[in-house]
Amino acid sequence: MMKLVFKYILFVGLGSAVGVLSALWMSGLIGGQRPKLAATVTSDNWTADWAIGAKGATPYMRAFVARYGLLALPKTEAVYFVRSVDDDGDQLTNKCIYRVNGKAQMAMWWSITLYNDKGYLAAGFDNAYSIDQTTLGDGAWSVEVRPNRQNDKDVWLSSANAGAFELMLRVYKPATALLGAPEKNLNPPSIKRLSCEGGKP
Amino acid sequence: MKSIIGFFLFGLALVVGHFFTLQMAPSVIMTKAISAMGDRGIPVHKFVLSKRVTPETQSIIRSSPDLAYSICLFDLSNGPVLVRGTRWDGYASLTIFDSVTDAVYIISLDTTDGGSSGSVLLTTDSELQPKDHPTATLKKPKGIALIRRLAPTPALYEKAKALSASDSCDVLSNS
Repeated sequence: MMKLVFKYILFVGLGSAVGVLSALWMSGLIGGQRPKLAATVTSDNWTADWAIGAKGATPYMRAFVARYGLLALPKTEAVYFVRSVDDDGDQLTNKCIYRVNGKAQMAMWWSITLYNDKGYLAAGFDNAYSIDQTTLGDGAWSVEVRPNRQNDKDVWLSSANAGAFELMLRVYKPATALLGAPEKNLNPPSIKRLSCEGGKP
Repeated sequence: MKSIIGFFLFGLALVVGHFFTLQMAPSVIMTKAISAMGDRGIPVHKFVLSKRVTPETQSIIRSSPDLAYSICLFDLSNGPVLVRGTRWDGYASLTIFDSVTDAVYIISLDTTDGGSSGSVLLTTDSELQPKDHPTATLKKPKGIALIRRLAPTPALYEKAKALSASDSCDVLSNS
């Protein structure tokens, strides 16, 4: 009898462990991948999840956002697009220099920020972590992403010490038209690789 | 029969463990975040302007270096809390996050929306409906009030710093 009870306790323990681990994995709390059930919006490799901040988000997405996007806003207030590859589909890296071309967004304010692959600002020497609408204006714009400043007048993004990195496009108070048809109304910046240290990475 | 019971118990424990973990994850993460902010010196019921986000100061993943963040940790255990944010010339908002990380209330603090400030009364009492302020009713007493102000330059950050001194987050003594 005792042996049987022990066996059942073992089954319950194993089941609980598998349940906890599968929940942590499926929500990205271990492994770091985004939940498969997320409401993903993609435009030219810029990816956002509009379930962020929404009460109706899946429990997987809510757990993921609680860990990786704590205190993020719902889409009516802000949407966050992330891109980690250039126009050829290669991972962005501080070993290369890129030209980013874009246009203004249909929103009150927008910005592009460079983070390392852990979501933290890279420890550069130059304070060029982010560029925004107050600098780039309301028309077409073009900036370089590079590990070092070329001249003092540059508007640029620094990838110094970033390693593999990602760009985040924040769009605050997006227009209703953008929320309704992002594939049509988002102006996704292009990221052209200009050169790399030692050739293509 | 014994093995069927064993597999049943395994499956039941798996499902319960899975969904219990998912259910608890946001509140555990929020509790840790509030605790970490407290450890860094952010008091309860007082707005504190975070240092300008730089590689040296960044503590929250993917926080923006273009925004000035003012944070108030609140606890409604001793009654409703009135949160008030001064308006700002540029993008600005006040967001209330509850104990499970949900943004339960957002108001704009742009000057274009009129008035000198925006406010919200936080309570756990669903019957409390004061006429003076909009109200947000929370299920649990603890949470975070966060004001974002667009301040992409050091000069604008200093301006936001001066303005943020007039933000408030106070327990109402008589309500």
